[in-house]
Amino acid sequence: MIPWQQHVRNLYRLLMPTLFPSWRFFEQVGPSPRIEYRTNLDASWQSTSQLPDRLGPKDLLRRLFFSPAWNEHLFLISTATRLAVDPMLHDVTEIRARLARRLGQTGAETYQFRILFLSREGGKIGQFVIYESTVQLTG
Amino acid sequence: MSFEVALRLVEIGVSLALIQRAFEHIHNEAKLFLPQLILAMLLLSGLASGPAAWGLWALCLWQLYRFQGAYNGGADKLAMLCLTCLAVAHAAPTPFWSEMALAYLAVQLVLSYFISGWVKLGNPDWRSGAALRDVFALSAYPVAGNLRAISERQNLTLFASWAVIAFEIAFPFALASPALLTGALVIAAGFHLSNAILLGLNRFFWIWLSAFPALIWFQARMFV
Repeated sequence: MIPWQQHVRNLYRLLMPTLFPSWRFFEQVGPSPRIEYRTNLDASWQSTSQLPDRLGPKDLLRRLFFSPAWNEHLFLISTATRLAVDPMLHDVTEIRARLARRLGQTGAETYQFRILFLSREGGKIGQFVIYESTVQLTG
Repeated sequence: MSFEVALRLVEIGVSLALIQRAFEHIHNEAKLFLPQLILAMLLLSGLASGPAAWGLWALCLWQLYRFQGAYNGGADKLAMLCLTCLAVAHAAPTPFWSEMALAYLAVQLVLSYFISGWVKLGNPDWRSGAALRDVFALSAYPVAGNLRAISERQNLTLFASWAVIAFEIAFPFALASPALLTGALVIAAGFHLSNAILLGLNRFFWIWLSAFPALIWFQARMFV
Protein backbone atom coordinates (compact mmCIF):
# COMPACT_ATOMS: atom_id res chain seq x y z
CA MET A 1 0.00 0.00 0.00
CA ILE A 2 1.48 3.33 -1.05
CA PRO A 3 1.02 6.09 1.58
CA TRP A 4 -1.09 9.05 0.41
CA GLN A 5 1.85 11.43 0.85
CA GLN A 6 3.69 9.51 -1.83
CA HIS A 7 0.69 9.84 -4.21
CA VAL A 8 0.65 13.59 -3.60
CA ARG A 9 4.42 13.86 -4.19
CA ASN A 10 4.02 11.83 -7.37
CA LEU A 11 1.18 14.06 -8.62
CA TYR A 12 3.25 17.16 -7.85
CA ARG A 13 6.20 15.69 -9.78
CA LEU A 14 3.94 15.00 -12.76
CA LEU A 15 2.05 18.30 -12.67
CA MET A 16 4.96 20.74 -12.38
CA PRO A 17 6.42 20.08 -15.86
CA THR A 18 3.01 20.90 -17.38
CA LEU A 19 2.77 24.24 -15.56
CA PHE A 20 6.41 25.18 -16.16
CA PRO A 21 7.36 23.24 -19.30
CA SER A 22 10.98 23.09 -20.39
CA TRP A 23 10.14 23.30 -24.15
CA ARG A 24 13.50 21.76 -25.09
CA PHE A 25 12.11 19.88 -28.09
CA PHE A 26 14.66 17.72 -29.94
CA GLU A 27 17.54 19.32 -28.02
CA GLN A 28 19.61 16.19 -28.65
CA VAL A 29 18.91 13.53 -31.24
CA GLY A 30 20.59 10.59 -29.55
CA PRO A 31 20.15 6.82 -29.64
CA SER A 32 16.62 5.96 -30.69
CA PRO A 33 14.60 3.18 -29.01
CA ARG A 34 12.70 0.38 -30.71
CA ILE A 35 10.52 -2.33 -29.22
CA GLU A 36 10.65 -5.77 -30.82
CA TYR A 37 8.73 -8.95 -30.06
CA ARG A 38 8.56 -12.59 -31.02
CA THR A 39 5.72 -15.00 -30.43
CA ASN A 40 7.96 -18.02 -29.85
CA LEU A 41 11.60 -18.44 -28.95
CA ASP A 42 12.58 -19.77 -32.39
CA ALA A 43 10.98 -16.92 -34.32
CA SER A 44 12.90 -13.85 -35.41
CA TRP A 45 12.31 -10.53 -33.68
CA GLN A 46 9.79 -8.19 -35.27
CA SER A 47 9.38 -4.47 -34.76
CA THR A 48 6.17 -3.28 -33.07
CA SER A 49 5.99 -0.47 -35.63
CA GLN A 50 5.94 -1.77 -39.18
CA LEU A 51 6.14 1.39 -41.27
CA PRO A 52 4.29 1.56 -44.58
CA ASP A 53 6.58 2.33 -47.55
CA ARG A 54 4.66 5.50 -48.22
CA LEU A 55 1.42 7.23 -47.23
CA GLY A 56 -0.96 8.88 -49.68
CA PRO A 57 -2.71 12.24 -49.13
CA LYS A 58 -5.92 10.53 -47.93
CA ASP A 59 -4.03 8.53 -45.26
CA LEU A 60 -2.14 11.65 -44.14
CA LEU A 61 -5.37 13.64 -43.86
CA ARG A 62 -7.07 10.85 -41.89
CA ARG A 63 -4.07 10.60 -39.53
CA LEU A 64 -4.25 14.34 -38.87
CA PHE A 65 -7.65 13.76 -37.25
CA PHE A 66 -7.37 10.18 -36.00
CA SER A 67 -4.13 8.37 -35.34
CA PRO A 68 -4.46 6.15 -32.24
CA ALA A 69 -2.01 3.46 -33.37
CA TRP A 70 0.74 5.95 -34.18
CA ASN A 71 0.24 7.85 -30.92
CA GLU A 72 0.41 4.56 -29.03
CA HIS A 73 3.66 3.85 -30.90
CA LEU A 74 5.04 7.25 -29.76
CA PHE A 75 3.90 6.54 -26.20
CA LEU A 76 5.64 3.15 -26.20
CA ILE A 77 8.81 4.75 -27.56
CA SER A 78 8.83 7.37 -24.79
CA THR A 79 8.09 4.63 -22.24
CA ALA A 80 11.03 2.60 -23.58
CA THR A 81 13.28 5.68 -23.32
CA ARG A 82 12.16 6.24 -19.74
CA LEU A 83 12.80 2.59 -18.97
CA ALA A 84 16.41 3.02 -20.11
CA VAL A 85 16.98 6.16 -18.04
CA ASP A 86 14.89 5.62 -14.91
CA PRO A 87 13.36 2.11 -14.82
CA MET A 88 9.91 1.83 -13.22
CA LEU A 89 7.69 -1.23 -12.94
CA HIS A 90 4.90 0.89 -14.48
CA ASP A 91 6.79 1.17 -17.78
CA VAL A 92 7.35 -2.58 -18.16
CA THR A 93 3.70 -3.22 -17.21
CA GLU A 94 2.51 -0.68 -19.77
CA ILE A 95 4.54 -2.18 -22.62
CA ARG A 96 3.55 -5.71 -21.57
CA ALA A 97 -0.18 -4.89 -21.43
CA ARG A 98 -0.25 -3.19 -24.83
CA LEU A 99 1.72 -5.95 -26.53
CA ALA A 100 -0.44 -8.64 -24.89
CA ARG A 101 -3.60 -6.92 -26.17
CA ARG A 102 -2.21 -6.51 -29.66
CA LEU A 103 -0.70 -10.00 -30.00
CA GLY A 104 -3.65 -11.67 -28.28
CA GLN A 105 -5.82 -10.43 -31.15
CA THR A 106 -3.57 -12.32 -33.62
CA GLY A 107 -4.08 -15.61 -31.75
CA ALA A 108 -0.59 -15.74 -30.19
CA GLU A 109 -0.57 -17.30 -26.72
CA THR A 110 2.91 -16.30 -25.60
CA TYR A 111 5.40 -13.62 -26.55
CA GLN A 112 8.69 -12.10 -25.54
CA PHE A 113 9.80 -8.52 -26.10
CA ARG A 114 13.01 -6.57 -26.03
CA ILE A 115 14.01 -2.94 -26.15
CA LEU A 116 16.95 -1.88 -28.24
CA PHE A 117 18.49 1.41 -29.19
CA LEU A 118 19.74 2.47 -32.60
CA SER A 119 22.67 4.84 -32.63
CA ARG A 120 25.20 6.24 -35.06
CA GLU A 121 28.65 4.74 -34.63
CA GLY A 122 31.33 6.08 -36.92
CA GLY A 123 28.93 6.91 -39.74
CA LYS A 124 27.08 3.59 -39.48
CA ILE A 125 23.88 2.84 -37.61
CA GLY A 126 24.39 0.23 -34.89
CA GLN A 127 22.08 -1.25 -32.27
CA PHE A 128 22.32 -2.40 -28.66
CA VAL A 129 19.75 -4.26 -26.57
CA ILE A 130 19.00 -2.81 -23.11
CA TYR A 131 16.14 -5.02 -21.95
CA GLU A 132 14.81 -8.47 -22.79
CA SER A 133 11.70 -9.82 -21.12
CA THR A 134 10.99 -13.37 -20.07
CA VAL A 135 8.28 -15.26 -22.00
CA GLN A 136 4.90 -13.64 -21.32
CA LEU A 137 1.33 -14.89 -21.69
CA THR A 138 -1.04 -12.85 -23.86
CA GLY A 139 -4.11 -13.93 -21.89
CA MET B 1 -9.33 40.87 -30.20
CA SER B 2 -11.08 41.32 -26.85
CA PHE B 3 -10.22 39.19 -23.82
CA GLU B 4 -13.64 37.51 -23.87
CA VAL B 5 -13.34 36.54 -27.55
CA ALA B 6 -9.79 35.23 -27.09
CA LEU B 7 -10.80 33.18 -24.04
CA ARG B 8 -13.78 31.72 -25.89
CA LEU B 9 -11.68 30.87 -28.96
CA VAL B 10 -9.08 29.10 -26.80
CA GLU B 11 -11.92 27.19 -25.12
CA ILE B 12 -13.29 26.10 -28.49
CA GLY B 13 -9.86 25.08 -29.78
CA VAL B 14 -8.90 23.17 -26.63
CA SER B 15 -12.26 21.41 -26.44
CA LEU B 16 -11.95 20.28 -30.09
CA ALA B 17 -8.38 19.08 -29.46
CA LEU B 18 -9.56 17.13 -26.40
CA ILE B 19 -12.49 15.63 -28.33
CA GLN B 20 -10.01 14.50 -31.01
CA ARG B 21 -7.80 12.99 -28.29
CA ALA B 22 -10.74 11.28 -26.58
CA PHE B 23 -11.81 9.58 -29.82
CA GLU B 24 -8.29 8.15 -30.21
CA HIS B 25 -8.45 6.48 -26.77
CA ILE B 26 -12.08 5.76 -26.05
CA HIS B 27 -12.04 2.25 -27.50
CA ASN B 28 -9.44 0.98 -25.01
CA GLU B 29 -9.76 3.36 -22.05
CA ALA B 30 -13.41 4.41 -21.88
CA LYS B 31 -13.29 5.05 -18.12
CA LEU B 32 -10.76 7.84 -18.64
CA PHE B 33 -11.80 9.21 -21.98
CA LEU B 34 -15.62 9.06 -22.06
CA PRO B 35 -15.80 11.68 -19.26
CA GLN B 36 -13.23 13.72 -21.22
CA LEU B 37 -15.44 13.58 -24.30
CA ILE B 38 -18.51 14.73 -22.34
CA LEU B 39 -16.69 17.53 -20.49
CA ALA B 40 -14.98 18.73 -23.69
CA MET B 41 -18.39 18.95 -25.38
CA LEU B 42 -19.64 20.94 -22.40
CA LEU B 43 -16.66 23.30 -22.74
CA LEU B 44 -17.31 23.57 -26.47
CA SER B 45 -20.95 24.51 -25.84
CA GLY B 46 -19.94 27.41 -23.60
CA LEU B 47 -22.78 26.60 -21.18
CA ALA B 48 -20.61 25.94 -18.13
CA SER B 49 -17.09 26.79 -19.23
CA GLY B 50 -15.62 27.25 -15.75
CA PRO B 51 -16.79 23.92 -14.24
CA ALA B 52 -16.01 22.13 -17.51
CA ALA B 53 -12.45 23.52 -17.55
CA TRP B 54 -11.88 22.49 -13.93
CA GLY B 55 -13.39 19.05 -14.59
CA LEU B 56 -11.11 18.54 -17.59
CA TRP B 57 -8.14 19.77 -15.57
CA ALA B 58 -8.81 17.17 -12.85
CA LEU B 59 -9.34 14.46 -15.46
CA CYS B 60 -6.09 15.30 -17.28
CA LEU B 61 -4.26 15.23 -13.95
CA TRP B 62 -5.66 11.74 -13.43
CA GLN B 63 -4.40 10.82 -16.91
CA LEU B 64 -0.94 12.13 -16.03
CA TYR B 65 -1.01 9.82 -13.04
CA ARG B 66 -2.39 6.89 -15.03
CA PHE B 67 0.38 7.13 -17.67
CA GLN B 68 3.02 8.38 -15.20
CA GLY B 69 3.62 11.39 -17.44
CA ALA B 70 2.20 12.97 -20.56
CA TYR B 71 0.94 10.26 -22.93
CA ASN B 72 1.81 12.38 -25.95
CA GLY B 73 4.72 14.49 -24.64
CA GLY B 74 4.60 18.21 -25.29
CA ALA B 75 1.12 18.14 -26.85
CA ASP B 76 -0.49 16.80 -23.69
CA LYS B 77 1.62 19.14 -21.55
CA LEU B 78 0.33 22.15 -23.50
CA ALA B 79 -3.23 20.82 -23.22
CA MET B 80 -2.82 20.68 -19.44
CA LEU B 81 -1.33 24.19 -19.40
CA CYS B 82 -4.23 25.52 -21.52
CA LEU B 83 -6.75 23.91 -19.15
CA THR B 84 -4.96 25.36 -16.11
CA CYS B 85 -5.03 28.86 -17.61
CA LEU B 86 -8.69 28.54 -18.69
CA ALA B 87 -9.74 27.21 -15.28
CA VAL B 88 -7.85 29.95 -13.42
CA ALA B 89 -9.22 32.62 -15.79
CA HIS B 90 -12.77 31.54 -14.91
CA ALA B 91 -12.14 31.27 -11.18
CA ALA B 92 -10.05 34.45 -10.81
CA PRO B 93 -11.47 36.97 -8.32
CA THR B 94 -10.89 39.99 -10.59
CA PRO B 95 -10.58 40.61 -14.36
CA PHE B 96 -6.91 41.46 -13.81
CA TRP B 97 -6.11 37.93 -12.64
CA SER B 98 -8.20 36.43 -15.46
CA GLU B 99 -6.08 38.39 -17.91
CA MET B 100 -2.92 37.25 -16.14
CA ALA B 101 -3.93 33.63 -16.63
CA LEU B 102 -4.38 34.05 -20.38
CA ALA B 103 -1.21 36.16 -20.58
CA TYR B 104 0.72 33.31 -18.92
CA LEU B 105 -0.48 30.96 -21.65
CA ALA B 106 0.61 33.47 -24.31
CA VAL B 107 4.07 33.88 -22.75
CA GLN B 108 4.52 30.10 -22.54
CA LEU B 109 3.56 29.81 -26.20
CA VAL B 110 6.29 32.31 -27.14
CA LEU B 111 8.77 30.43 -24.94
CA SER B 112 7.81 27.12 -26.56
CA TYR B 113 9.27 28.39 -29.82
CA PHE B 114 12.13 30.50 -28.48
CA ILE B 115 13.60 27.97 -26.02
CA SER B 116 13.24 25.18 -28.55
CA GLY B 117 15.20 27.24 -31.10
CA TRP B 118 17.77 28.39 -28.52
CA VAL B 119 18.71 24.86 -27.43
CA LYS B 120 19.02 23.78 -31.07
CA LEU B 121 21.30 26.74 -31.80
CA GLY B 122 23.58 25.61 -28.98
CA ASN B 123 23.92 22.12 -30.43
CA PRO B 124 26.61 21.70 -33.16
CA ASP B 125 24.69 18.73 -34.59
CA TRP B 126 21.68 20.97 -35.26
CA ARG B 127 23.87 23.69 -36.76
CA SER B 128 25.47 21.20 -39.18
CA GLY B 129 22.16 19.54 -40.08
CA ALA B 130 23.31 16.20 -38.61
CA ALA B 131 20.62 16.19 -35.90
CA LEU B 132 17.78 16.59 -38.40
CA ARG B 133 19.40 13.97 -40.64
CA ASP B 134 19.30 11.56 -37.69
CA VAL B 135 15.66 12.41 -36.98
CA PHE B 136 14.89 10.97 -40.42
CA ALA B 137 17.61 8.30 -40.48
CA LEU B 138 17.21 6.59 -37.12
CA SER B 139 14.53 8.13 -34.92
CA ALA B 140 11.17 6.41 -34.46
CA TYR B 141 9.27 9.46 -35.75
CA PRO B 142 9.05 9.30 -39.58
CA VAL B 143 5.62 7.88 -40.47
CA ALA B 144 6.62 6.07 -43.68
CA GLY B 145 9.68 4.23 -44.97
CA ASN B 146 10.22 6.56 -47.93
CA LEU B 147 10.75 9.51 -45.53
CA ARG B 148 14.01 7.91 -44.34
CA ALA B 149 15.51 9.00 -47.68
CA ILE B 150 15.28 12.65 -46.58
CA SER B 151 18.30 11.92 -44.36
CA GLU B 152 20.42 11.48 -47.50
CA ARG B 153 19.58 14.96 -48.81
CA GLN B 154 22.19 16.86 -46.82
CA ASN B 155 21.56 20.28 -48.36
CA LEU B 156 17.85 19.99 -47.60
CA THR B 157 18.35 18.95 -43.97
CA LEU B 158 20.95 21.69 -43.45
CA PHE B 159 18.61 24.32 -44.90
CA ALA B 160 15.60 22.99 -42.96
CA SER B 161 17.61 22.92 -39.69
CA TRP B 162 18.56 26.57 -40.02
CA ALA B 163 15.05 27.54 -41.15
CA VAL B 164 13.59 25.94 -38.00
CA ILE B 165 16.25 27.48 -35.72
CA ALA B 166 15.85 30.96 -37.26
CA PHE B 167 12.05 30.85 -37.11
CA GLU B 168 11.95 29.63 -33.50
CA ILE B 169 14.53 32.11 -32.23
CA ALA B 170 12.94 35.04 -34.09
CA PHE B 171 9.41 34.20 -32.93
CA PRO B 172 9.31 36.69 -29.98
CA PHE B 173 10.05 39.57 -32.41
CA ALA B 174 6.70 38.83 -34.09
CA LEU B 175 5.05 40.50 -31.09
CA ALA B 176 6.25 43.84 -32.49
CA SER B 177 3.27 44.21 -34.83
CA PRO B 178 -0.04 42.48 -35.62
CA ALA B 179 1.06 41.91 -39.23
CA LEU B 180 4.30 40.25 -38.14
CA LEU B 181 2.43 38.09 -35.64
CA THR B 182 -0.09 37.00 -38.28
CA GLY B 183 2.78 36.00 -40.57
CA ALA B 184 4.58 34.15 -37.75
CA LEU B 185 1.43 32.24 -36.78
CA VAL B 186 0.82 31.20 -40.40
CA ILE B 187 4.42 29.89 -40.59
CA ALA B 188 3.99 28.21 -37.18
CA ALA B 189 0.80 26.49 -38.35
CA GLY B 190 2.66 25.26 -41.44
CA PHE B 191 5.51 24.04 -39.24
CA HIS B 192 3.13 22.06 -37.00
CA LEU B 193 1.30 20.71 -40.06
CA SER B 194 4.57 19.46 -41.56
CA ASN B 195 5.47 17.83 -38.23
CA ALA B 196 2.07 16.14 -38.23
CA ILE B 197 2.51 14.91 -41.82
CA LEU B 198 6.16 13.82 -41.64
CA LEU B 199 6.49 12.74 -38.00
CA GLY B 200 2.90 11.88 -37.07
CA LEU B 201 2.65 14.60 -34.39
CA ASN B 202 -1.03 15.29 -35.09
CA ARG B 203 -1.95 16.32 -31.54
CA PHE B 204 0.72 19.04 -31.49
CA PHE B 205 -0.92 20.62 -34.53
CA TRP B 206 -4.37 20.90 -32.91
CA ILE B 207 -3.34 22.00 -29.42
CA TRP B 208 -0.78 24.60 -30.53
CA LEU B 209 -3.29 26.16 -32.93
CA SER B 210 -5.91 26.25 -30.20
CA ALA B 211 -3.64 28.44 -28.05
CA PHE B 212 -2.95 31.01 -30.83
CA PRO B 213 -5.89 33.34 -29.89
CA ALA B 214 -4.27 33.91 -26.48
CA LEU B 215 -1.19 35.23 -28.24
CA ILE B 216 -3.16 37.44 -30.63
CA TRP B 217 -5.00 38.99 -27.66
CA PHE B 218 -1.75 39.34 -25.66
CA GLN B 219 0.01 41.12 -28.49
CA ALA B 220 -2.84 43.62 -28.88
CA ARG B 221 -3.06 44.14 -25.09
CA MET B 222 0.67 44.69 -24.53
CA PHE B 223 2.14 46.13 -27.70
CA VAL B 224 -0.51 48.09 -29.61
